[in-house]
Amino acid sequence: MDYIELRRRLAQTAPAPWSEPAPSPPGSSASLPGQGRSQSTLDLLRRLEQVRRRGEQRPRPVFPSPEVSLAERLGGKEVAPGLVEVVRVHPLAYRHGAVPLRRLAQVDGDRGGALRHPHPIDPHKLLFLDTETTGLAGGAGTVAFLLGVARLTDAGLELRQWLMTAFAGEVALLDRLAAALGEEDCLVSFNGKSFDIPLLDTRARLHGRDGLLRGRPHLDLLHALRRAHRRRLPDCRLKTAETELLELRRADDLPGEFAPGVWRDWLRTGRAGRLNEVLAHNRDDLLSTAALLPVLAREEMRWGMAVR
Amino acid sequence: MEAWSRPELDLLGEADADPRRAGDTAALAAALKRKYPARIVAEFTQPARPARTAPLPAGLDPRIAAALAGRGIRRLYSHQALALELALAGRHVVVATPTASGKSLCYHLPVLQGLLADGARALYLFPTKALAQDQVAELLELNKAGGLGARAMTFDGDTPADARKAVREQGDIVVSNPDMLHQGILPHHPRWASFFETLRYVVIDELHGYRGVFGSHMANVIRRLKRISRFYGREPQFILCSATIANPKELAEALIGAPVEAVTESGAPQGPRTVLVWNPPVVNPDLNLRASARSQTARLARLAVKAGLSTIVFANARLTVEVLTKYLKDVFDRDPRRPARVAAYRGGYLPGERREKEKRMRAGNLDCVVTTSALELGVDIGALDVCLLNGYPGSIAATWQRLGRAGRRNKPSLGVLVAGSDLLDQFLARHPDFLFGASPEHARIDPDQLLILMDHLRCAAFELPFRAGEVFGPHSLQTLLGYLEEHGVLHREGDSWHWIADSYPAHAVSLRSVADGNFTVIDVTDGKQDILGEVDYGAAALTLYEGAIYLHQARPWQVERLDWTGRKAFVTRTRADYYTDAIDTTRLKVLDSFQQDRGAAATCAHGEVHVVRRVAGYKKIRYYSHENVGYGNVNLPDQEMHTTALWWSLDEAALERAFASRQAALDGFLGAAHALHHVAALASMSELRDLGRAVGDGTAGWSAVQDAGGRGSLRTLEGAALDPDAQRFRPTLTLYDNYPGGMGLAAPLFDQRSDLVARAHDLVADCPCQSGCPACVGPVLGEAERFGLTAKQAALALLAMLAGGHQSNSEANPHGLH
Repeated sequence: MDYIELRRRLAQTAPAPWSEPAPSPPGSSASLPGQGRSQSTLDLLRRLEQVRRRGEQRPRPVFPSPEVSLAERLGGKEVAPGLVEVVRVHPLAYRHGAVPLRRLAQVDGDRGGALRHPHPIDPHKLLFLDTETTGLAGGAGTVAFLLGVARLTDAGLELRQWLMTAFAGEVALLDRLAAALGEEDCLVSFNGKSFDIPLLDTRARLHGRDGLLRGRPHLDLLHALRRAHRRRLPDCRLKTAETELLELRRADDLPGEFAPGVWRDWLRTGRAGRLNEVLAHNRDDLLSTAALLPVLAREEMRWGMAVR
Repeated sequence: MEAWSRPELDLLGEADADPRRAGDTAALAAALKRKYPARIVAEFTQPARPARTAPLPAGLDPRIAAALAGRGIRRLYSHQALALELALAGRHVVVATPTASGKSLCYHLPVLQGLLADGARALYLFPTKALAQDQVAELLELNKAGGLGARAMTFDGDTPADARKAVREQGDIVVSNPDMLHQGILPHHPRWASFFETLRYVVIDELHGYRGVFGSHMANVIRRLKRISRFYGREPQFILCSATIANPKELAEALIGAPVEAVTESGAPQGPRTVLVWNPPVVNPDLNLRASARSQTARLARLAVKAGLSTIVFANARLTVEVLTKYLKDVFDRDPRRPARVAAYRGGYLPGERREKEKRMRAGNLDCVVTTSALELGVDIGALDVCLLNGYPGSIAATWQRLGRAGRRNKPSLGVLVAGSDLLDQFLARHPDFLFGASPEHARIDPDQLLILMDHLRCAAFELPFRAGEVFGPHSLQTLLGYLEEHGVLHREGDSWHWIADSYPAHAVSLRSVADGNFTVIDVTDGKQDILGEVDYGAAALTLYEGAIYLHQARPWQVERLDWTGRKAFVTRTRADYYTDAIDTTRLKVLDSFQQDRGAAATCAHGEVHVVRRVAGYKKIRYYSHENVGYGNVNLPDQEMHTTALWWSLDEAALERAFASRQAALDGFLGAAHALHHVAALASMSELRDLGRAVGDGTAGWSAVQDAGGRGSLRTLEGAALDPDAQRFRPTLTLYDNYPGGMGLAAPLFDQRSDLVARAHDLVADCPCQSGCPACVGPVLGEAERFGLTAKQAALALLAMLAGGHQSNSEANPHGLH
């Protein structure tokens, strides 16, 4: 019996367990399976059993400390079992699109423009945050396998990324985030209020770290962008804000939706593949969020709309 | 069939039978019996039963006792007291007592006690949203009466997003349904952490509804719930309530996977109840055709309403509900300026519309409600006097549940079962003792059905990684997880399996049916875009094809366009004087046979089959006259399924000896299939729809369907006619398990194969009709004989061949045609 046969059988009986049901298009004709052997449910179980035994005989691929080489390839280091940390610092003179990072330092004491922050902003107490996840569905089964944070320091904007190289690294990732969060920090994200933060909160609760992010002040620049530019921009995606407000065009960017697949490939094969591009994409998202803040802080607001 | 029954024909003599004293069910019953002794084939009375009560237990929180006193309750019914005692002793409890015996106090009391004593929280699960709303109302009244401060909150699809957080964090009693638990709560359990950490009681009402596929899914949802509760350090206690079924304890234990104490003796009082079995009069003795149940039911409903009795009418199909409502509205709601006295209530209406109707029923502002099984469950609609069943509901348990709708609160009540023309109904009309004497059905589930289990295994893995040594059902967990791992859904790391797919598996699993996605019906008349209702996936192909008349509150709309992938049907208002009925064909192919019994001419076997169902067209049927006024074609995707089945096939040579033509043999097959299908449903204690039937050639080359006259014709799946004499001819009669992968019905039926054939033969032979009728071989019209045989004779000949002998053929073939 071959595995393909088993898969075909299960697929015929019900929607495949690995996919969402796709209704067949109208008018599609009946496809009857070819003649051949088939199995009852019990038989199916017996065959599943064979698959398992075969699986046990076949040695699982073993990678000699893959994290070490992966960490090196990504320019970082393994900081805990299953967790790689990558640190990059961009000097204040660095221009992200048309915006020098220096402008971020200049929002000191600001609360204006589209940000409408309740308190004067201390740019050194902002923690920019962005995640890459295994999916957009949310719920307990979605994991943030990569977390990037950025903070303004005297040297420039310091980007810190934690990549889970195994599920065992998740607790360490959450603990790194807790350590990176200063007492009075304000989180800054793009769409984090409805996505990244609830997701991280879920992960924290699953590991008994309730309240890691609860009650944190949080500036979600998506909301500020909507307030200022809803009528002027075709949409309020980060990509649109980058081209229209930052004059940035990303070169060779790996689209975010490919990130989960790249990470799954890593888990399955132990090959780094395009993980470096996933990290670069995440860094770009962080930089754009950081560059967008001073731009939105400068918007003169009148009747809820930016005036140019 | 129904073409003979015209409303103008005064079958009931309405004017005469009108009882003098308004609001008296006994008077109505007496009038019916006096006037129509021949139509009443059985009468059954249940005497009034006094209450048996017990004092409130000493340990009950005085605030709860005060709340009960505030609602006039100073003693409990004996079953309530026992259930409370068992629950407080930490046992899982199932309460199975009749409709309206005060079951809900059996769980409200321990839940409130736990809440007041140490803040324990509870989850209430009702199979429908309507029921949930109702129980919250009752709980709130108790709460108010005693100032208990319990916060009962509903969490379902109608709960607005901004209110959900409050429910999670503040709800002492969260009222929800299985689908919401499955798709909305368990996959998001970390948000519900504080709830799960303090969860003590899980209440499952309407337990009897969790049968078959739905129940098997539910048992797996409970496995997930228990698994998540353990993660938060809790082992919740279950309190379940059921209407009367044969095996409440067994079902409860299968559902929650733990021993359960059963409370089955009701201490509630009950008013006297009279139940009549009503068989419509024969209007055509040659064809054994009776007046339609529908027109008789409409008559009885008119009588009851005119007598000032509040009346509920149950019908088995949505279409019948709409047609009956129209008939009654034509009488009682002619003046549109007056508030309606008659209303339809069924699934598919929007929630607000249903709530409004429930309210009007409770307030007594409606005289008559026509419904499907939607009101069989415990929605509180207040006291009703008369319950009419248009046709046997398909099970004894459902019959009593429906009859229990009338006669609440100690009032005498009248129930009438109006027998339909089909086989089971006529069987019951001939053997009413079956209804009144027999035990109600056993409810069965198969929580370990592999496909269902795999569905929930994915959901469970999404919710929490699996660790080695965990148990989830009886199969080797490691094997099943390994299978999901090989498909890239799970990733194994050391001794745990993590979900890594980019999907939300609960969305792909529907607890109620195989395929997911309700269809939205959108009214686009005059350029508007109003949502009119919803139709579930299973019914969509049969009711929403382009050209179909969609009835909503007895008013017709026509389906203009069906967007199958988008799950939308666009309809416009029409004045059509007809309704539509779908024609569907089933093609079936045997994949594998597990066991065979080869007789002289017939072979019976069971195994696996591939089933393709297609709606090929529809008929237009005029109101009242039931004339067929046209046909239309339908182009819809096929419904495909791989399942288990049992089948009989006959040797071609033997068939040729027994039947003068292949056509006659086909008639025999179709008639035998009709009888066997019904007999098998009874034998397996399942509902008719749980089994499918098909007559074909076993390799999906052709299938036989009944033509407009009820006689057999060969069709390709595309609906094109074939000449039976030009085909390879090895017909196969198949009964299949109507669920992908099978729910285990086929193998036991195979073991009873001789019995099934014998009983089907008796059933057809004993039927008083002359040449075949819906009560034996299915609806047959037109020529009484074809090729020398009536449809009935052909079916008997065929059943005799299936029974194994050739010699009996001559018996059933008086013409001796060879």
